[in-house]
Amino acid sequence: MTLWLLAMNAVMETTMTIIDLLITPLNYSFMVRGLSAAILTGIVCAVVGVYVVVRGMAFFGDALAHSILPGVAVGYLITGGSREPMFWWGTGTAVLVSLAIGAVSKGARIKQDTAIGIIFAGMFALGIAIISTVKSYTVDLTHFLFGDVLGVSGNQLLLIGVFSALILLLVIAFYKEFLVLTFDPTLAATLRIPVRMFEYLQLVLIALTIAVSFQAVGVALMVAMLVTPAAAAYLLTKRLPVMMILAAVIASASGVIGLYLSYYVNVASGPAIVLVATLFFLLAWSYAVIKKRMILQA
Amino acid sequence: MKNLITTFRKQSFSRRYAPHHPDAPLLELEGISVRYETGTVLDQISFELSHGMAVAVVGPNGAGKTTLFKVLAGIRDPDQGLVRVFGHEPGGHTCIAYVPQRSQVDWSFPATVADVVMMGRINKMGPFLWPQKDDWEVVRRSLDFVNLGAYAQRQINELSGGQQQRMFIARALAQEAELMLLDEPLNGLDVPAQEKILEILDTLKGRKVAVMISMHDLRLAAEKFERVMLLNKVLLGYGPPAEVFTPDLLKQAYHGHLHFIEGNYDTLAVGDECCDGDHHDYY
Repeated sequence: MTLWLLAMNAVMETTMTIIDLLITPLNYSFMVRGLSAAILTGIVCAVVGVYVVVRGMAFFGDALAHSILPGVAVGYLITGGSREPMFWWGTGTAVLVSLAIGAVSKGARIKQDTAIGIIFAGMFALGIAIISTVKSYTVDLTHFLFGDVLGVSGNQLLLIGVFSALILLLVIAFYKEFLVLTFDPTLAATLRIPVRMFEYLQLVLIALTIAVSFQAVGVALMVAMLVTPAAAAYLLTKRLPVMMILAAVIASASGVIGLYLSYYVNVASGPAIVLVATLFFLLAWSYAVIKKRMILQA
Repeated sequence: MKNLITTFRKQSFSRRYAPHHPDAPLLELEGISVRYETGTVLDQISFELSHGMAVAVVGPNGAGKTTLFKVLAGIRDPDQGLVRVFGHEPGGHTCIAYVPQRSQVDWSFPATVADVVMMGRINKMGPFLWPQKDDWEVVRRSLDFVNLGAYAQRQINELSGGQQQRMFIARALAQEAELMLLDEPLNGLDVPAQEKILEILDTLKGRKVAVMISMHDLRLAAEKFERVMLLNKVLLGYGPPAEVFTPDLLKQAYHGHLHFIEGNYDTLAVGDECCDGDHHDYY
């Protein structure tokens, strides 16, 4: 009897410790804001990232993320490091660059990935050049490159929330148009859907997603948030809507687990989130491989 | 109430498309020419097609078959000439289905067979609306028509080549197409699979659906179609196979690439071009 009580006690204590470990960080408001931002941006990145994965646009996403750096840098210089203006400058740059890449890849004689590479490297270099004019630039540059989700302000969180809702609404509202456009542009044309318009809208959605999530993982790791959860989800399902939901779940879980890891193990938050997402991908990949083996054997 | 709202939205917001003129033929072409940087692909093509007709379009690689289909579907404007579908320009119609070559489709796309067939209906749902019950019912019937009912929930890469092609025919049915343009649907299929597709196309006549199908097999075209079209940039012949597939016209179409072997009963035409599913038409 006493043994049983002791065991119960031990279990209770462990549970309390775990709950304690989970709750303690929430006493800090920066942690709460960081978690909210990580979940929101995770969901948006994952859902839009599904299009990036099925259309094979990972390089475009990576390039676009890097290209917003000059915009962010200008906002940063003008306001002396205030965060909200940086958001607007980042958003504007992302939309402009995405449309520019869209236009260049349509008409030019240069291949699309070459065009993207030129714009990407040029803009990235411009961004770093601008930031390097400031004395203390290494600290800020690190935040831009690898994210600073714990530094999200209340106002910024509000902006992230509003834009995330807008992006998700657009994805849901034009779900069927985007589906057809992604799978079979010729069908879209014969059904008299304005193909060009929706193509650009898709690029703008990716741009907005990057601008919204920039603070969470930074420009250098952004492509991971777009591609990794969506790719993991791709291995687990055969339908696009399910893929979007699974990707969103994986991404927000990565955000939460990554942030707790960063709190307790004391690693930078952006890389922690990306590493957890990568782990999820490896799990999904192993599952897919094992499943295939079993089907082949059966 | 919800139904009422749905109906209202479907009727009031769905786009208006080109009307069908009651006396006009399904398809009318007058002097259609298409030029690319590399040269003329179609030169002065004129013909007519009525409801429920099936035509096999035959010609060597690069003869302009795909380009012709794209002009008919209204996704490429001709440089010259006039196309009329039910008396109006093709670009305003949604009753024309273009069935792509299988090699141009991403078969690893995360969609089920039913999802792909549903894509044919999206302009009938009204803006912001997701597929409703009656849409799925149309999808089910279309899949049953091509004998793929049991495969509705399969991922598209689980289908065989012939089944993939039938799925696209089902999609064209779901689109309520009155003209189906099939771009080399028989390429790379074995004979039983080809037969199945031709059977399905035959039953479409009963539905008053017109079919234009590009293919390489002259014998099959002559055997299965009452009407054939011989194309090589210009329209060399259009009518019953016996009138069109004459050694003279065939030589004009295939130039030196066709040899004639005199048999006991019949003349055998042998082409030395390989039709391996590769795409040689100009875009």
